[in-house]
Amino acid sequence: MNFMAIIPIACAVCFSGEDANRIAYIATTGFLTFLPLTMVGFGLWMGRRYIVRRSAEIDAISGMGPTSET
Amino acid sequence: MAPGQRRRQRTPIIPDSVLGMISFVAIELMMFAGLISAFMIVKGAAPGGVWPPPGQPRLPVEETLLNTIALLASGGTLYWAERSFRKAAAKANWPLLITLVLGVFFVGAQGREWVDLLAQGLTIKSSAYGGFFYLIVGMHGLHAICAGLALLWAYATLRQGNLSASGFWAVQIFWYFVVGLWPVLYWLVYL
Repeated sequence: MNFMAIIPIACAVCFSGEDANRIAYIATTGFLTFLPLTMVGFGLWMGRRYIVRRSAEIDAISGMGPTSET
Repeated sequence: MAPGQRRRQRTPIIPDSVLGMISFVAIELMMFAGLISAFMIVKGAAPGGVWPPPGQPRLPVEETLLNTIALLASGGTLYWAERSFRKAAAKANWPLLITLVLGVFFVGAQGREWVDLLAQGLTIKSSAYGGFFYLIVGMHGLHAICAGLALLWAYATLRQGNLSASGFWAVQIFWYFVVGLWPVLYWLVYL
């Protein structure tokens, strides 16, 4: 018997038999995956918005007179 | 640098203090996300779907609702302080002080709640329920204390007339994080 394969019942989620547990597992996996991606995406979006705005300001200044930067 | 060239002025997208605070808040948000996830899975695995487990004290939902309202109000007064600060720094004194008082009320009321729950036998070792409660709510309380100290610093610096806009912005981010996170924790842990 010691050499027979057994089912590894190690994961408390997979083998709990509770639907609520499995739903919680799937939902929290999605939450933990997408939360950091959302934060990084928000940071990139803010950075892009700032760069676009600054570029427009610099273009406006450049169009009015001699450039202040060389 | 070649003659005739001038050093290009570099303007940071956001001040260093604000960037540091945003990074800190993002890290802490992930920590709370992990705690909430673990809590949800353990809650979902409760035998028979009964949560809180039988024999455990019930959390004071109504009393904590009052704390929640106070904390949300502090977010409103901080917004008021920020608007006043933009007009004239000295005008932010009162709203910032009110924010600080509401924050102290929240932390004090939470502390009193903990004393009552401990007296009823709910400890961090009594069950997974108690463990998660003290861990999640305790971590939030710790952040509330730290953010309250930051508010105190902002208030003291404002009184001296030395509070910078970027410093105030960073403190606001910290406090808004504490305020914004709490309703989620209240809904998940208490209700």
